[in-house]
Amino acid sequence: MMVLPKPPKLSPEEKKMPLSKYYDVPVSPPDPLRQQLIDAGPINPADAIRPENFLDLLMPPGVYNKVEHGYCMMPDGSGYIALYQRSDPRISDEMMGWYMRWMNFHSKSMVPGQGNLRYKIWMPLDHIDHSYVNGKDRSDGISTLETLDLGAGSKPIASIHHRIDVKDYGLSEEQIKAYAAMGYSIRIAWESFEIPGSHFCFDVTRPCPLGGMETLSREWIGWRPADGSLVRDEETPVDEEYLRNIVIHNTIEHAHLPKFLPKLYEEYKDQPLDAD
Amino acid sequence: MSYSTLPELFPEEKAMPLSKYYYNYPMNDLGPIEKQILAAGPMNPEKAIKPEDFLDLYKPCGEYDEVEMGYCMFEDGSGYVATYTRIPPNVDLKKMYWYLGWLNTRPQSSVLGHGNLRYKIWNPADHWDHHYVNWTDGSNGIFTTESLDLGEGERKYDTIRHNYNLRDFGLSDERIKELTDSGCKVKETAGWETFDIPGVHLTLAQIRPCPLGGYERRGREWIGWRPLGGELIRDPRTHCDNDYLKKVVIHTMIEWNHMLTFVNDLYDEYHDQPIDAD
Repeated sequence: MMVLPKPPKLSPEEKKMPLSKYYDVPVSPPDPLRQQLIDAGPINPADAIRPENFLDLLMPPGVYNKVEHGYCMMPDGSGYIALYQRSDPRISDEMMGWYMRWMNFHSKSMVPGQGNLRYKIWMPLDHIDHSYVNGKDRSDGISTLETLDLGAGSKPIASIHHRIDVKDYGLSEEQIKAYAAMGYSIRIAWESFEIPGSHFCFDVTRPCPLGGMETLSREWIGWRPADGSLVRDEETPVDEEYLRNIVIHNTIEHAHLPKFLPKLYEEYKDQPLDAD
Repeated sequence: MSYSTLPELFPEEKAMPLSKYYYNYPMNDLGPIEKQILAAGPMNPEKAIKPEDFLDLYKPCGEYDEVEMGYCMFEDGSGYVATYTRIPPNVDLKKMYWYLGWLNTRPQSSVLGHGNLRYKIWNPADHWDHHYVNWTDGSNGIFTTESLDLGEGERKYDTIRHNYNLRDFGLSDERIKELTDSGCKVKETAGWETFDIPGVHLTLAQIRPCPLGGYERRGREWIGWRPLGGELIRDPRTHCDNDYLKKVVIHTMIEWNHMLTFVNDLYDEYHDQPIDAD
């Protein structure tokens, strides 16, 4: 059974903020079934979606790939991540939309250089900073500083998350509307880093047959979009340990959000944007 | 699997208000995580709880076995089944426990020989009948008629679930305290099953708070074992192979997931009605 370390201590300034109580919400290891899949080791690359076929993730409702949660190195030295998550009944769309914007703004008492407590509370073991690149909205990207090893000591890496238009990568306006009519939302993005490397990301959220919504996510490490196609970025560092860390990190953070978001939303949604 | 093809109800059943829970709440396949686990085939028997250690299933909140979902044959020809169901925070445990008692009483308009619609709604593809052996309470066991293949055409088996006391097998006050201190409620009895053919199953489940919110059910079956006089006895006549064990896993997990889809609504409609309400 995975034993998680204690989160890093907050600064005195952070501790004083009312927000700091959400940092103390205990983080749990992955649920036992996902943990079982992670323990089984890397998936067979033959069961991965190749980057050039990323739109294969757009399947009819209730249809899944053989592997929806796992990781592997691909034969060309790039990496592959598959994540499957279900929505939690404690979280509404309004809450999620509010938090995903709100955490990009630092509160008034945050000290430059100490990160963003609004982001830290989401994943205390790894998260450090999060903000809009242009300071006002996501149009120029989102800047993130985090580790991925559950606080094991690796150097935090700064990244920028760039949203791109799926219409430029194989889906027509009509197809997008047809998927939207089925309750699908589609997100395509890529990440650049302070070190060489690129990740290409594709998420499909859709109604889950068992109720609520489900998100099928994929990440191709070592690929980035360019002029309507995907190009290989050979400089991207990746190995199995790194991929496994991403799967664990993302599994944990997804499951942690419902533990605190409903209360956070109730407390902060009507407060000024820079409230502590 | 034909779990989504509903066997037709009898006209008397269709006329019951209860029938909407049969027709309006579609059965679903296992989720992709569960299917991915099953696709790997039988688990390593070394990661199973051995029959003689069956009480090891009872763990403090937050602790798990390395394998919480899977199946395998043991070297002696007996079998092992592990199932795990997350019960989300929007499902009230009280309503689940109410259903597990309520389904033993047949609706007043039930016709002898037609089974029990209260049980059929739980797993329309496989379930047929369910009642207390003595028609009053579970002290003499619970009678069940069901198949396990999700409506693929295999015959339905009659089963009787008998109670046994876990204190006879070493469940101590100290162990109970350890579990309750962690937030678990400890059930001191569990069930074992006999069938209309030779064979026995030892079962044990733990329902407890889930660290991620809501509750979780951890279930185990040791196929080919039964309790007797404070000891476990092997019954080598018990039919068991990997195909059978896999069916038990799928059947069990699909039906528990399905119960979560209707039990809130069912409770709200029926819990204040007479015990034999249609």
